Amino acid sequence: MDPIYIQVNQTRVSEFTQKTGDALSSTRSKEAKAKAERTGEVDKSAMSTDSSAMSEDMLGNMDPDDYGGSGAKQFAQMWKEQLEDVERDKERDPEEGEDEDDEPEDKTAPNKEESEIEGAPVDGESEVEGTRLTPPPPTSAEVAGDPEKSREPAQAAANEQAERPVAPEKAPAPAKEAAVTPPTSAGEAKAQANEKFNASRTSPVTPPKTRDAAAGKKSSLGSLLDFSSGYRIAEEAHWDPEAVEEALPEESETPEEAVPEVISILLERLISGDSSQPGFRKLGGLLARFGRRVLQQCIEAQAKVYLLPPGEPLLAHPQLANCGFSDLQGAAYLPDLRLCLVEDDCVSQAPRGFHPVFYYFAHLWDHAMGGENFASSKSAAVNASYQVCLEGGHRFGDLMSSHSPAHYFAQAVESYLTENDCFEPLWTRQDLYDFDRSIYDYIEYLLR
Amino acid sequence: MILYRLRSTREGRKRDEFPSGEIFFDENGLRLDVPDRTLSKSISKHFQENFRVRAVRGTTETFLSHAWISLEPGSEQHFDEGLRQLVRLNLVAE
Repeated sequence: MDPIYIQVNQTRVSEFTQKTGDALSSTRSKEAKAKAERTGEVDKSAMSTDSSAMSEDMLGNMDPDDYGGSGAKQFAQMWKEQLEDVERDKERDPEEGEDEDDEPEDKTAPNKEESEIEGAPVDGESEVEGTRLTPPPPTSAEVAGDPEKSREPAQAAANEQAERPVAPEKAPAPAKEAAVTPPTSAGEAKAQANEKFNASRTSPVTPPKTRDAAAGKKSSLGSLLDFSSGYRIAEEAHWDPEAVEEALPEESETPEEAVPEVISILLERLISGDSSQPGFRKLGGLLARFGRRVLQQCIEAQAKVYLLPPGEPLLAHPQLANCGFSDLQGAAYLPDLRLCLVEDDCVSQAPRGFHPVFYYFAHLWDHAMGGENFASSKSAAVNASYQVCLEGGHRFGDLMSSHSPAHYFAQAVESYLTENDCFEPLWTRQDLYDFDRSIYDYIEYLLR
Repeated sequence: MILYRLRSTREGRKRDEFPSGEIFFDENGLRLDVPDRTLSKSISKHFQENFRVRAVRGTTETFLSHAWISLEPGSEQHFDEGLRQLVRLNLVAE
């Protein structure tokens, strides 16, 4: 057999026997406990051992007073003897002051410890007052024991304190006050720092390097965290409405409206009006979708497109002023003048339902193609599609497009050229393709 | 008029083979016979709206322009415009 198999099998057998042995021992112990409870015996195995039975090695550094061991009496006796010695020393002090140095160190040691322990809370209090947890590192002057030099770090700390909102540990009282109340402005902080700095200059020792001197060596990231010149308060933002108005014309110049140079020359000849208007350029961009050939046809037919000034309605034109209708909107076409009038609103804002610029320029184009009359009225393709729509074979976009072949053709051109230029379009290019394929193909042929 | 659903195909939207219901306009107003209750509800709601349509202004001899008018429910003109705009509900009436 394979030795690996044998080894694995043996380990499995040993694990099984161990598990069964553990289970048997646990059941036996449970049965024994149950018997003991019946007989009224107390289970001593669950009780903890007495600490007095422990040896001193096991106790280690533990206080024997707390545990009542055998060493407790000895410790109490030693303590009493030390207290008595201290009382004797106090009685001798007024008589023999010089004998203090001769006393053994082992007797004075506990007193020193006590004094250190008593002194600790005092330092702790100062730390709490100064809100400083770590004491400053000792300087070379402190180590040397020079009292004048030892003041230097205190003054330096006062300078730092004026720069920081944290109080030093051993600073003088006014410095503490300055630390407790952080400077409200950069000017106050600098004034405090200068006072401290001038005071430190009176000492013969050269002043320590301040944070201001070191600030220049800091990296840019460190300078962000440096508040040596005081806290930086954000300045109030001043909104300039004139600046926004100046920025608007720049935003209107979008790269989408970029027109080829040939077409832009034709558009300049075709469109009249105030070229400084924001809608003038947009109108050119819309008409550029008709293509160079259509624009050239319209120019050859002496046609014009006039963009009305902003806020001026269609009825402002003298030929429409007496037309008898007061509800004209968007744009209009005057056949006798071969003039297409366009309101500024329908260019600067997205119109609703359909785009009048495409619709009425299609009338102009239809008229330019037809000569004296509209070409759609003579076109066999348009008339055939129109008849099919009237008979129900195809579908009109709306009631207006069913009025005449000219209206039908203009609506088909508008639907073909519009690309998300208006809200809630009545008849989209997809609708034209799906429900009136014959006129869609004809418009595509004309504009190709 | 018989109502059909519109079905998208590779050649555009075509009307479905089977009718979805019938719609009539008589003296009493709109009459709807659509088994699908959800569809019937949406059609009824559609015909209760006012339609904003273009009206022709001028002639080819004088000027060509338009004006927006609102059609209210209850008129035959409103019913015709409603049938035309059934495309919004992906329906067609023949």
